[in-house]
Amino acid sequence: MLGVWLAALLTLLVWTYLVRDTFLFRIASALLVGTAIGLTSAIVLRRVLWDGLLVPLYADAGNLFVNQWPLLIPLALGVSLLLKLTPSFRSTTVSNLGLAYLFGLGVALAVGGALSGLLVPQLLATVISLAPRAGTLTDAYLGTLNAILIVVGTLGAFLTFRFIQPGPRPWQRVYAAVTTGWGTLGRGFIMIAFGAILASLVTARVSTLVGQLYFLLHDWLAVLQ
Amino acid sequence: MIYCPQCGTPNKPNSKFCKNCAALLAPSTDIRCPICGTLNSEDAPRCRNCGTRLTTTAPYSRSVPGTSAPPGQQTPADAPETITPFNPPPPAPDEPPAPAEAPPPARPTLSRANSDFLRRLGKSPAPTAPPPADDTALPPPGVALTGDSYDYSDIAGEVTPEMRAQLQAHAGTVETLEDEVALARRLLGLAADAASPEAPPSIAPPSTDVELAPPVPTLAPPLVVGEPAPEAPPPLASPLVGGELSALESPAALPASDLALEPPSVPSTLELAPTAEPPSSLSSPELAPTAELSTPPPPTSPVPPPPAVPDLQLTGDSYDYSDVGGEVTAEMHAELEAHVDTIASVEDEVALARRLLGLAPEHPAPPSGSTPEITATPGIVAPPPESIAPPVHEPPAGLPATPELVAPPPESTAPPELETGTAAQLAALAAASSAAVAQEVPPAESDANLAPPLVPGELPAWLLELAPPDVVTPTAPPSPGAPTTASLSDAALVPELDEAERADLPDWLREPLPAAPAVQAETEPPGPAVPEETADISSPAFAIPGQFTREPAGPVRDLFETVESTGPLAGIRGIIPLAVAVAAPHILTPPAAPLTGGGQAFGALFAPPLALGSAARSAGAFERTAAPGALSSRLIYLLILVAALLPLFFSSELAGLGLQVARTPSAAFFDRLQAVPPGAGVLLAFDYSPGQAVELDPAARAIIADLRARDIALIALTTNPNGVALAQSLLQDAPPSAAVNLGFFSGVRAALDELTRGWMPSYRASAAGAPFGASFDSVPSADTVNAGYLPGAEVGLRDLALGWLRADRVTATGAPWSSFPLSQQVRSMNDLALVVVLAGDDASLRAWMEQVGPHVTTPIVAATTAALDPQARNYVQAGQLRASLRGLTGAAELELLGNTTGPAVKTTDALAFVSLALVLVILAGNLAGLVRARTPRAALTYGRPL
Repeated sequence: MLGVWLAALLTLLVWTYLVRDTFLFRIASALLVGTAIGLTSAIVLRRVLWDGLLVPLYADAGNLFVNQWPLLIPLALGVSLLLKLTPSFRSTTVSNLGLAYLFGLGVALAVGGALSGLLVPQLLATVISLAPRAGTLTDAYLGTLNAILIVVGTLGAFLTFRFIQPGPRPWQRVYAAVTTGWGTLGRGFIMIAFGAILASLVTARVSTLVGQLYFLLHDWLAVLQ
Repeated sequence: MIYCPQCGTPNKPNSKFCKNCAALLAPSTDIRCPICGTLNSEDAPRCRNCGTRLTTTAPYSRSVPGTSAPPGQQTPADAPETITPFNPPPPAPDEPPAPAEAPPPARPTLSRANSDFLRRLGKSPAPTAPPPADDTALPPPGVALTGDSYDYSDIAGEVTPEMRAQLQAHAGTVETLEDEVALARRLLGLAADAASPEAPPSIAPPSTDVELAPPVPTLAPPLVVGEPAPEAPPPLASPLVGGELSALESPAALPASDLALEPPSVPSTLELAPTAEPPSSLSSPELAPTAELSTPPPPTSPVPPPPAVPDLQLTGDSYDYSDVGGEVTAEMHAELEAHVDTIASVEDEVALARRLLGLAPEHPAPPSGSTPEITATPGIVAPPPESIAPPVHEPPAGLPATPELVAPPPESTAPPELETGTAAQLAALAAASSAAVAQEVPPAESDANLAPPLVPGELPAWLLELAPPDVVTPTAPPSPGAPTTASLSDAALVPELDEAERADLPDWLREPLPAAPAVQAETEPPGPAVPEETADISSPAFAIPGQFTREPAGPVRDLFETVESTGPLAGIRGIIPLAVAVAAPHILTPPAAPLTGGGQAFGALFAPPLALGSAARSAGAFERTAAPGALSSRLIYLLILVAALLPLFFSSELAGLGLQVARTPSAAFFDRLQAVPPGAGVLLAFDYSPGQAVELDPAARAIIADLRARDIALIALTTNPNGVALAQSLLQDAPPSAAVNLGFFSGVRAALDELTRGWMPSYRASAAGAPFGASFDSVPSADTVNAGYLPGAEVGLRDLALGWLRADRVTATGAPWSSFPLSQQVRSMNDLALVVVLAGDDASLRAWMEQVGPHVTTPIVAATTAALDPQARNYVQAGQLRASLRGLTGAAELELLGNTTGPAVKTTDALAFVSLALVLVILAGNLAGLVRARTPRAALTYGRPL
């Protein structure tokens, strides 16, 4: 019950921003940020550093370099990152080791993951057949139409960002005209996508509002069944 | 280029002095274009800059060598513009400062601006009456014709041996004395109508191509005060030697060489004689406002015969020529001595001396005691119609200037030819300039003898036609010693112009300006102060009556220049005030540029509408900015609140009104859930923050309820630290499994479920009060594991996808993963039946797609917020996601598909109503904006501000 009251009170404090930027809204904002950071810090310290690193090291300290030596690597990297806080070792190589490992691993994973998990699958998704699918006649032609729209929209979206001056030759002018027209069509697809994203964003925020209203009326005030 | 005659240094074409030795330079032979002012070579028929035809004598004399313009066709206006330096002869040191002495003949050069004016004047019609017969110009009847010893000295001009030989050659064609005189005059380069020996000889333009100053006659002193013209001037005392040299006062008696035109053979010093200069003072900045244009005396027609020449010592005696004027140097003495054999009389000697001195031949300085003062006469312009400046008849010093002293043109005196009138006007202008120069150092006595203005009756008829009536309005003579105001109105000196004449004017002269102030100037008393303004009589405003103004050619006085009024520096201008210079910074506000005629017209036409438009725009902007902030936004808030609250109070039977669940993405998602076999393991990733919990918690509850209803093992983890508590809360609130489906744990689980149903509230209370993660340790669940936070984001996910959970991993409950029986069933991600990602942001969903999806075979579905749904659809379309659930709406659909009515279904109606309200607000806002966008334009069109 206390949690419900606190949640309801903080909700009303945040809503005071509809009037103006009040002190109450600032209190609620500060509480949100503070509790989020505090919770995150507690979890990291307890579940990561303490349970995952320090407890194993302490539990088997006698055989530290025999059984638990792999834990020394993250410990060393973590210490190197902490050296960034010291003026003397801020720019030393030791202090850069943890940062270098972090950046290197992150870039490698991001590039590899983008290729294998985003770019290639999305490109393969556009390699579709325009032939009617099996099924009902409506489904077949709708599927074909959908495939055509996907191909045209995808290529048009790419051609939208084509900024090449056309050449003087006739075929170059024809090519420029085609790509410009197609790019204009692709721009329309992009605008539709932006509109969908904006509508979804508005829906998400409205969902949050409605959900919080339901919380106030149902859980706090209990006026709804 | 003008090459210095002394040092040979090349100087600019318009240079007056040598830049090396400061010697006076001969005038340039270049021709200045009257349109653009470009200097052209003397033989150029057209301007090299603008192509204007150069109206010079070039067609006759320069373009065609060997030819010369007919003397009768050459006019002063056709003469090339020349700039003659001014070389005033220094006064004689022993010359007494006669108060009646004429001002020094300091005449600045003729500027281009007034040259046009002068040319126009030269074209102005003048009364052409036959000149009176003057028998005195003819040789005595006893003189023999050509071939005898007659020296033609009476005609004017210097007869050289070559000319004499030519005369001899034409002896066969000479029949009468008049013919001979005309021939001689033509050979002498005198007037074209030299056939009449009575014509004044100094008017004739040169027939040669020599670059000469406009052939103006001898410039008269500023004011000639004497007897009326019809009467012969009284014999004055001889200015030279005290004898009677009144013969010099006769123009006919003057040698031709002493007249206006200088032959090319004249030495350079003589070329600089002001007698041959145009009235260059027209552009002189020093022109004082007291510039009076005195009327040269009318011609003394008939010229009295020269008086008897007394016996005087000729050249070679001790006479110092101081009376003649100028300083006679030793070289001049030597030259005079060299011409002893050619001097037959005193007149010749005086004429030669004057020529060497560079003085006007007909202006021998009269004795101060016998000449009237040169007085400043305001508002006088009356150039005599007669050509030859008569002898100067200046009143004696101290003689009050009276109208009677101003010699009016004689009624009987016929005006001369056209050039004569022009020359007379030039003489008047030059006199004005001389007066201006004299103003710089005015004699104290001159103010007392100011000549009164001319009255209409004193002006010649032709001048009255030229000058407007207001010019000759007599003004009261100023009191002696008081500053004299010389009203040189712009209509004073220039006659009215007809259309044909006006067409000849340049554009800048024809351009009318509305306010042309009359040129008035104050004649300041002699003192250290320089006159404030100078009357620029050379300006077009002076030239054209009343309608034309032009910037003065002289230096413009600084507007911010200060004039010291007190103290020892009184009267000195340009002194920086000490207090201002030291203490205060100079903040000078530049004067605003006056609007031109076009600018004024533009402002009058368009400024008010523009101001109205600006005001309208400002008002519109205020309304647009004030409306949303003040009232509209609050109305929108209220509308949304009402739209959200009303559906919540509907009956439960209306919940989910119009919600379609068939053939939706939510249905595909539901199908994926239903495809999970009972007893299998499902991984739930709670990757969202508490701020997105309102939208995703209903979906999470629906999923958990559906899976728990079919006794499916749940493994929860998160890559968001805040997701641990969210997952823990949802798992705790989930109903217990109704089936025993976890192998050897099934019996225990069923017993525990039955056991816990009775004390669940106490269990929840204890869990809430227990330390973080302690509740699950105390009451472990066999089919539900909260693995907790997975650090490292992408790294942790990749490690999860490739290595799964370590056995010693500490879960959210504090127990190691290996302590759960589920860890024996699920050893990798591929052992899972389904992965459900509850993603609240793009980064977490993309991380799952990039780091986990490519490495596992387990199907992955995602329940995302509505904002993330478009991106989730892309993954679904690409096959990376098997299905997606869209936020609160998806949760409601999922509830409906599970035949339950949860909070998602109850709130989805509110969501629909709010969405509808937002659509209406957007439409209304666009309509209002469209109407408002048209309103300002309409107001501008009709000139009505909003």
